[in-house]
Amino acid sequence: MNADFQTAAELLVICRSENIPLSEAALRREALEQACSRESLLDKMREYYRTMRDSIRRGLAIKATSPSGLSGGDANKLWHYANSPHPLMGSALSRTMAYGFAVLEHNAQFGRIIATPTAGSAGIVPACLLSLEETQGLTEDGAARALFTAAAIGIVIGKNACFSGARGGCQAEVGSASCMAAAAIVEAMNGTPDQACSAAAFALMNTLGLVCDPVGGYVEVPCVSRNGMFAVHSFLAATMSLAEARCVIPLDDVILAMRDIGRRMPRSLKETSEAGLATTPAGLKFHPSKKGENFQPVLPTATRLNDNMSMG
Amino acid sequence: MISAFDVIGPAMVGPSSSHTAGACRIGIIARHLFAGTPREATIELHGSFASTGTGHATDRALVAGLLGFAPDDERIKDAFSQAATLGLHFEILSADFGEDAHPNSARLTVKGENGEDHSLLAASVGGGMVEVREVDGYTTSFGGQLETLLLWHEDKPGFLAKVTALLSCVEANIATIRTSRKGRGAEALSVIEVDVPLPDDCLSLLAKISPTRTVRHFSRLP
Repeated sequence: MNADFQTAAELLVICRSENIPLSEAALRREALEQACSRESLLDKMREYYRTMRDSIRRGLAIKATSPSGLSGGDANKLWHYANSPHPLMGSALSRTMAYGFAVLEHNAQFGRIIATPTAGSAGIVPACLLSLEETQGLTEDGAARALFTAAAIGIVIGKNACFSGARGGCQAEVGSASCMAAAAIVEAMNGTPDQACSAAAFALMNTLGLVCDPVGGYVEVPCVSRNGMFAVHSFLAATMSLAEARCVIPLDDVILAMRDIGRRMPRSLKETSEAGLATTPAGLKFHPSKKGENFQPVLPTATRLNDNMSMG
Repeated sequence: MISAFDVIGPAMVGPSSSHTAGACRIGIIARHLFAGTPREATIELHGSFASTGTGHATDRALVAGLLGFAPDDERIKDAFSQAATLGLHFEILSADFGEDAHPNSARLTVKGENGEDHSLLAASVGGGMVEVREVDGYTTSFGGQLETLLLWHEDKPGFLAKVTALLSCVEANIATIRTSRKGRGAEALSVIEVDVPLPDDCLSLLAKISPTRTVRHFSRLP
């Protein structure tokens, strides 16, 4: 029996012919490859989900700033805002954001997290699942299943593109996480495998081109807020799919576009902190090379940026 | 082969899967090249590892791995002081391995007890996954996702036949195998990945196969 799949199209063929959801396809593939029981695999995912919840709980409690001074305390603020009388767009939105922030703030303070698929994007899937637990009654077993849904999509991305910010920019990290989470949400809401893949496509196509330009080289600005915001983005993509919005570019094509854009993206915008936010006047204050005083920004300084704007 | 747990996981201490967890795993592999404990290490960082390594604790994670700490060990942040306590001297340098090198690459040149020394060139390829590119100057390719066997030996006819025969006796299915040599009949390194843990007596027999010089092995990385 061949349970492996290279593309979303192959994954969907398996799901349709066996009449199973994406999570089941990922679970069967894993059980076969690792020669172990489904129950032990689900147990491990359940354990991972508990660690995720724990990282959210610990992140929400953070009040002190991280060693770099770049993050800390915003998850807590969002949480309080979510519980205020009239939070903008309802409390679920700011809670979901708070959860994404929390994981990354905990991560920035050397806390224990589950890389999903990377540490810099580790807040998105957990934030979505905890939000589903609170608003839709997702159980712990359901969350373990949803992590296999996310894994199914992640396996396809890993085989056809990559998760590394240094090779593909932020679209490969946060884009992939958001893509995986969107599919997990749809399946948890009883959507079909096709709908789950459409949600994944919607999420990823709207993160294409996202660069990795972390201030000071730390996984904090913009990473912390980006995890909160793109957790919400996953819900937006899932909403589109559940509403049966038309998916013109299938997931496999979007993944190839992501790989192509990642290859064309300049090295300075791929986790080197040599351009973008990292080399803005405010960002440079946190640049490690500031100490050496010989750092030359690759892309526009504030002055040159203003020149360009006046020309436009 | 990407596992669901490569995508969801590893459990790790922040801040970066490639720059912290992956770096720690590279350090762990380097430690496994030794029978004893690493005592001195020169760590060269290339590309993004060099430019953003400090902020991502890449340096501390590589040292933590050399000390044998797992990627989710909360002592990683204190790896430098732990190294002082545990007797590992290290220096960390910035280097340029050229355009072809993966942006997250590190070269570790390590001395152990009894004058044993090894070098390792490896890349952290995303999500905590790693790829070893060179061991002691031999080109190779493995990621620590399976039971891994390293055999330093002379390049002689029939060597691999004896090794694979022994592995077949213990029903260890070979996933990958790669031999690299310095020249015909000269020194060589074979790296074999197998699906199941190898029994101790199998390992001691492997060491007796002529002309094996050294055998090291390690299990799937944490």
